[in-house]
Amino acid sequence: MSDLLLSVEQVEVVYHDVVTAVQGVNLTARAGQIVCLLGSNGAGKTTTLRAISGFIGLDHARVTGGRIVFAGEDIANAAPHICARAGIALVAERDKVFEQLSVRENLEIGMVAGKTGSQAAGGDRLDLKGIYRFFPELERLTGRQAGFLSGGERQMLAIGSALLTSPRLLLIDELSLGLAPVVVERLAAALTDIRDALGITILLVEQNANIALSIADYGFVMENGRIVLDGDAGRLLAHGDIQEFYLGQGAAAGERRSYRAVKQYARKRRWYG
Amino acid sequence: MQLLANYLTLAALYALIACGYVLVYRVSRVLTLAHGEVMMVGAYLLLTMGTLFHLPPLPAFIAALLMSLVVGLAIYWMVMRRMAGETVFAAVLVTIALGILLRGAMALVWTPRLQYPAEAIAMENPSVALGGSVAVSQASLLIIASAVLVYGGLFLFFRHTTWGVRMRAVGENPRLAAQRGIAPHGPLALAWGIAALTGGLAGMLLSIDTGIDEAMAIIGLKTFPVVLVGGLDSLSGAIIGALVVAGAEILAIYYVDPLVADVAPFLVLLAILMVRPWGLFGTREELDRV
Amino acid sequence: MLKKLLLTGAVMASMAGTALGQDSYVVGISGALTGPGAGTYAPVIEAVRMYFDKVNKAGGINGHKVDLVALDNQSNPSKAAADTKRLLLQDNALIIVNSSLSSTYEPMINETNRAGAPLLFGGSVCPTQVFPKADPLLFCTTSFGAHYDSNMALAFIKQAAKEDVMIGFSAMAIPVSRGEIDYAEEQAPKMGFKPVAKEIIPPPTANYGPHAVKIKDAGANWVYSWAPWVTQIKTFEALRTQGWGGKMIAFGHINAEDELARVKDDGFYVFGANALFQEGLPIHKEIEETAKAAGATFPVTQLAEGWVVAMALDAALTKTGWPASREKLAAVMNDLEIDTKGLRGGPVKWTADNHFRTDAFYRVYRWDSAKNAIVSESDWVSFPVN
Repeated sequence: MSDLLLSVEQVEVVYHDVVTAVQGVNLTARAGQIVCLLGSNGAGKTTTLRAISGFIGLDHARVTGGRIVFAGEDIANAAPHICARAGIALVAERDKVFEQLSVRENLEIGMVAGKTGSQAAGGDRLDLKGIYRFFPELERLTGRQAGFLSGGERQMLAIGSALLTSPRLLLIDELSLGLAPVVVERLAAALTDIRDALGITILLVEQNANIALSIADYGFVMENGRIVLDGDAGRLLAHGDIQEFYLGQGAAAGERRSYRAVKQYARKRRWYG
Repeated sequence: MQLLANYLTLAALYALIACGYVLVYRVSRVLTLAHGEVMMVGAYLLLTMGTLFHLPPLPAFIAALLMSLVVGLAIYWMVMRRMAGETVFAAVLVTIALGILLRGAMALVWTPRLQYPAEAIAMENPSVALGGSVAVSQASLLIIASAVLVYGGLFLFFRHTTWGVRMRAVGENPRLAAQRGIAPHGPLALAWGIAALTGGLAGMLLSIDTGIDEAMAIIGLKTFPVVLVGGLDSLSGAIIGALVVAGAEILAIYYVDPLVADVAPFLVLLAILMVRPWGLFGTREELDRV
Repeated sequence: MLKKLLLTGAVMASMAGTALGQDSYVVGISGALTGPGAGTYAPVIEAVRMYFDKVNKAGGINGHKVDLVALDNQSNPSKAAADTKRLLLQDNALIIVNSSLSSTYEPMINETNRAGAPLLFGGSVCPTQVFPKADPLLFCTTSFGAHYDSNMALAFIKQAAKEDVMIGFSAMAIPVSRGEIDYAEEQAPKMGFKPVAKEIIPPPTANYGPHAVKIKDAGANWVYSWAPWVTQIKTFEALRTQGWGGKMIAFGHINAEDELARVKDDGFYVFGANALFQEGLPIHKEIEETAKAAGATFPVTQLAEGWVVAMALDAALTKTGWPASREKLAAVMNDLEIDTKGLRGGPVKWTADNHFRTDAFYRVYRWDSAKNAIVSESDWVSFPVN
């Protein structure tokens, strides 16, 4: 078992000092693992990613409880560029590339913004050629303005430029959103290649449980700000609830249920006002 | 063709002043209403290079330009940096207050009377004949040359240098830039610094031509329509805006009434706002801010 | 016991304070030390201050010091009104001096009329109310005066011109300047001139080139400008830049002397009411010495206008005697002759009807490159004011 790279311990995130979006979340990622975070809309997955990457402060939110330990240091509430320099790269759901810059400029931004020795395990510093090996399409498009790329190309560019910051942990929010299945498969395969070649850890937030569990080693399921289930990807795929709620199997037509309806699952919510 | 010469001079002046507005807006999303005062500070610095240090023209200019750059950096570091995260409106109000502060400081240090940097640095401003009974002052030629050099330099800077690309990235999406490891302070400070430098240069050259007086700050404010017409975040738009507005003003002086010329920039602005509110070259999403 | 002593001491001290205040002549000044036009007005106020510092050191007027209270109104009408009120009610000023833009006039006049205090315009353009028939409480020492100035300038051109005069005009787009130039344009044909161009120029103009071109292309060989100094000088310099070879006459504001020396152009004439320092009169030397001793911030050549204001105040207070009141002072000023010791062409005389001056004296100066100095074109010329 490789080292624990990321450990989110009992983390609580509060927006505007009133709304608790994430309460008592525990998740871990080991070096070289692909970990996925599943859950329906509004579960708190994006908030968790933002907390890890340091963007919480920009949304009037704070980590009010617990720790986020990355490579041995607690980075809860640290500024985004501090997290970036520690070795965390985020591919966000929106705003993932600089639309007015060219593809090449987008990639180079990550490279020149000084790194402090956060190399991926077992590799030389990644350069443009390395990226083009994973995403040959980008080489063809170097001069094009990023705003004019297709969804899939944009995602590739986002992942590529994130990789060029030489991260140890790559966070990806909604890899497949709005993309055609064949493109998503292409991206998923690329992620596996990247992990194998560079040894970096990937934390993937996804609504498409199928694709996520197909490439992940481990998975966490989040609902209403809490982790409700976790386990090896294989076991999760076979889990009855997962199959029913996320994989669309097993439920009678018109009777789709979610965790919200499960009686044994007690929820606490703090309401505003 | 004297008309053409006057037109180009005015357009070049407006363009030189406008690029400061665009720079600051593009990188930090703040509209600086203290730019006219920054122009005056540049001119006064040039004056002081002459009166206090007795420098000849070229060293005086270089020294004053460097000091203007420092003034811009200081404005960012001491004032504007603390406005990060506040609403744009608040930041704009702060620039207005800054302008008032600068004006008071200038009156205290240099007294309000009409002053002539050209005299102080022993720089001549002869009339230059351009052939065919057309003549302009040497300072006017310098203004035109400076505008060309500054814009050329800025275009190259933004396209081809690391810092230029960083500034564009921070201007477009500060969050994403932070995530890619770019701390925002560097590009922001540099934007304010370069804006103060170009504004100061405009002020210095204008003062060589006509001396320093309070009208300079108003000219800086008159350039605001130029920026809006071209699009707040577009450098090429600023050039076009300068050409359009200067054209309207010169034509008004010649063929309509000089008093109309005073409001010509604002009439042009009104027309553009009705037709294309984000300016000729601006990006559409800027509408709210305008 | 100690408490009683302290209390008595405090009461006596405060009484002494007010006694001191009541022991001097209080003069209030509301002027533009900063803000629009400050370049014109601040030197006036400084000169008045220097004058009375010197007078106080020598024992004051009629044995009493002159207490000068100067407030900065930044040419802002509401501030001017508030300051004037304060000077009248709190400081008990006998007389108020206005040295700022004309927008401050009406608010200040309201306050001073209400308090029955005289208002002296010093350095700021004389309002119509000081000319015959004058308002009882309004007075003006300022060197420039509407219509009389233009009469002088046009008369000068007539005797100086060696060929037919095609005259161009330049004004700043403010009512005072425009009005005067309109008047001059009207008078020009009566002098046998042909008006060919009239440029009304907005204040914040970056480039005077287009305006100058129009004057030049119209064929003007003489240009007259009556406006704030910036408009006058920038018009001239733009004309010269474009190769215009004619002559220009403009009003000599406080910085005219420095400007003549800077521009060094034989064809640029200024006319004014104050004798320039290059004349080297004893009064000039006196001003120079005082300025040096006081460490003046403004060049000594800009202090003549303010000095005349101070002389007027001095003459009025001296004649009023002690104790003084606003009524007594106003009565004195309705019949006063102010000796300007050569700063003006003659004494400034005020009568019950005329609070401008009974005679307006002018002199014309220009730069003479042969002598490398400023020369005066003629002796003092006077116009009766009625």
